[in-house]
Amino acid sequence: MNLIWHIIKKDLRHFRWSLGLWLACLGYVFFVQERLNFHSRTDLQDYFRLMSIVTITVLSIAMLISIVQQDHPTGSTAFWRTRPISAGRLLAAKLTLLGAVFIGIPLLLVLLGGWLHRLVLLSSFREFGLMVLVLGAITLSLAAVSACTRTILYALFLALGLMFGTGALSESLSQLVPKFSAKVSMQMNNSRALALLGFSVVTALMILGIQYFKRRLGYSIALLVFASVGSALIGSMWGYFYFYTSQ
Amino acid sequence: MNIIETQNLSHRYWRTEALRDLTLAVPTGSVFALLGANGAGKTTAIKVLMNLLRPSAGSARVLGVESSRLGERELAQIGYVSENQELPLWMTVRQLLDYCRPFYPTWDAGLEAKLLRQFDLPPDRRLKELSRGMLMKAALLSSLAYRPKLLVLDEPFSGLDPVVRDDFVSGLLETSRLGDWTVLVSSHDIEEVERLADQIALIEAGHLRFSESTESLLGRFRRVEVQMEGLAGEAGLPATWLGWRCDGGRASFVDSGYQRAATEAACRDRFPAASIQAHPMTLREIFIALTRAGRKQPQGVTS
Repeated sequence: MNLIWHIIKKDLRHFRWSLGLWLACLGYVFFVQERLNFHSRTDLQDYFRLMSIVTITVLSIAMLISIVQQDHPTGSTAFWRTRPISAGRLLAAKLTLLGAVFIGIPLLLVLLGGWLHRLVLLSSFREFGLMVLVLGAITLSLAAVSACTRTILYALFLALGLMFGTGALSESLSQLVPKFSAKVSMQMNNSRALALLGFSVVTALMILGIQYFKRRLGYSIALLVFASVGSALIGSMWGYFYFYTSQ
Repeated sequence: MNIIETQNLSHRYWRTEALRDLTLAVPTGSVFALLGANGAGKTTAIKVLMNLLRPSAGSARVLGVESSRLGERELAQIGYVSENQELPLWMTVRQLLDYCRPFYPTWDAGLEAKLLRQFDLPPDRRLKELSRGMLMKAALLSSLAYRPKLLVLDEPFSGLDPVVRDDFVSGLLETSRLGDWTVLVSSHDIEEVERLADQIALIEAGHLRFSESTESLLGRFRRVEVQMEGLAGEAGLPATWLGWRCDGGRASFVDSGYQRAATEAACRDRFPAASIQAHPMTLREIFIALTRAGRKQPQGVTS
């Protein structure tokens, strides 16, 4: 555990400035959202809020990819690979850090917001669960793509390519299946979202496992493509499947 | 006892065979040099040994463990310095050492401080601000401070100016006296290797040409000059005679299996009235002669 923490501390030190800016932007957005009335905000405050959101998005993507890629799991020139650092220890350190920053901190802010508004947290349990699943799916999917590429640019190309591919396939498939009534769609929406998110989390974890423990890029890319096709199928065919299995 | 053993080790990059049937043994306690021209397969061999690449065929054992199964325990006993390694350049020298220290149970803080002074490294300067020579020294320091049983150096002299190169080798020689470790160094900088190595292997086009002690290698190579009457052709010359040249009444060649009596007798058989002179060769001259010799297998190969 000490060595995992040692690796996390190294990453925290490396990303201290970007992480500091990210936290400041997050704090500002939270402050504006929670403390300033929508009608009492000035244009400048709104402008800074918008810029903060853009900065948070850009920094989140850049930091997430860099955290994974700076100790690349398969690179034959990677520093860690000739040092006594096991793949399991490194993966544990990376997942802990990514989880704490990209899932833990946003959740804490939501909890803090709930507490400020005196909301009953227990009643929002399902929403919290869904939020964890959404953040987890995004974080792990991007981490998986980062583990399969060498640079931020390649990771972005691959991620966007997969997203567009999935979208195009999903759109094509939706032309082939019958349209459902709004009522059926409403009924199945939650289960479809859960299936999509769960599928993303599981495949992303499998890809990370393959990259860190087996170092088989070919298998990982095949699994990424499978994940995209699977997501498209779930996105467009899930209703069809749900409708007939629930009869 | 060998600290590294490979058996028919091969590695392919797509269609290119970078390493072919490499069978090699590195004795424990030796300074073993892997020589070869650029692209000969030295770095690939080392990467397979370090489990940075998977072998396409064959096997490699390092510290008695299959190289593909090298774990934390074994890596804690191996030091690796390579020109290709991506060091965390954002760190200072001190931060690099602080980061590495906890991973090694045998880290010697006293040796670290001694080497830091000896290598004249600025502890608070970032690695990206260091010259190439300093960077290699920092990498070497972070690989020596835990007294590894095996030190692997992949082209450590590449891109270093002569003074820094000399400092580097002197530092290495000095520190090698501090412990009983084995050094595997790959290089095409032959002068530096000659100062360091007591065992030498030559790799060409991914294939091992020979592996033997430096003493034996220097002993069996001689540049031979023959003064004779008339011209002599290459036909029928022994296979150990490399780079035959004949200009007027003077011929010269490199004998890769030199034995004074046998070589002189072979010369006199062909050129009865010739006068023969044999000159010792440096490792560099041997390397060049072998490379030019059309990649014929020299006599006395021990692989």
